[in-house]
Amino acid sequence: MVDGTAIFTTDGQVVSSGKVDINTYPVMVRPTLTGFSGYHWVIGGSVIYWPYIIEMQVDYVRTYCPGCN
Amino acid sequence: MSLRITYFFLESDSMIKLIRVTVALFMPLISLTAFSYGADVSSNLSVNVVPPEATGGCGTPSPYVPAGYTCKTAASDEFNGTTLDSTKWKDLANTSLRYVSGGVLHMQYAPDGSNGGIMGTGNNGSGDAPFYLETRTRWPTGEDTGGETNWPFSSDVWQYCSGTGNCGELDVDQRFCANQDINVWAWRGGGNTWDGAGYTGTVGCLGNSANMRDGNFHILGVQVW
Repeated sequence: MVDGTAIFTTDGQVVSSGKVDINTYPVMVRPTLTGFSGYHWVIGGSVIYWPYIIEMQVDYVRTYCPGCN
Repeated sequence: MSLRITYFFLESDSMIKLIRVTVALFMPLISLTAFSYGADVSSNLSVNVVPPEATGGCGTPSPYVPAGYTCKTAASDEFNGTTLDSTKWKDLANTSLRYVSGGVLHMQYAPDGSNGGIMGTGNNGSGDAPFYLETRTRWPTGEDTGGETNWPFSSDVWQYCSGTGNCGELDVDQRFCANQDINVWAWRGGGNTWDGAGYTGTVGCLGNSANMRDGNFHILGVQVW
């Protein structure tokens, strides 16, 4: 991580931006890819108990970085 | 007493028809969502057509990808075909509650609390920052039943774990908030803190110009450097 800056966007509009304290959160900002399972996407998880099946749909998840392929 | 019921009718892989039925029964704060397949509706429709995509790797970049950034195929998925790519994903929960069809991943949540959650296999991430994460997702319409305390979905999370209970997360989208917004929940620290401490930006339920629960796909991104 260069300086801990993060920008969150929705449909291209910034909804949150700031910096993370890399001293407080070294796990988050200094991954080594040698840990329990590395960086990865997680889709799905917690749910409240709704009386019907509900569904979300994911068209894609993508990871970009400079020079990636 | 007010009872709101939202029905979704899926007729084909390429077209989804949706209708909302509201029944006033004078009981406040009860909101129910249901899916029903194969039904025919002829009014009050909101149609979403899944766009064509690449057959492998990463599809056409959105206009929001930072300049100079390219897609890492191993850590991306277009969810084409009819099966989940086992080289990229492993199941966390109930496999009967997730499937791939029509170019999208269908992720379901059952009344008993089970869900079709998945996570990436192994170390398929990009490594250290800088990186940019993006997902195109849509959620059921309808109102929340109680604001921030409801967590129908934990979804589209970029996670790093160094051991049990010691994970960092970038929650691209994480939960429903009151009435309309999907929140952005920034950081989870090395322990189990969810308060966003250490991050100077705004976290929690963030209002924005897009109604994230309008039944349409929305693109959420996180750039870190």
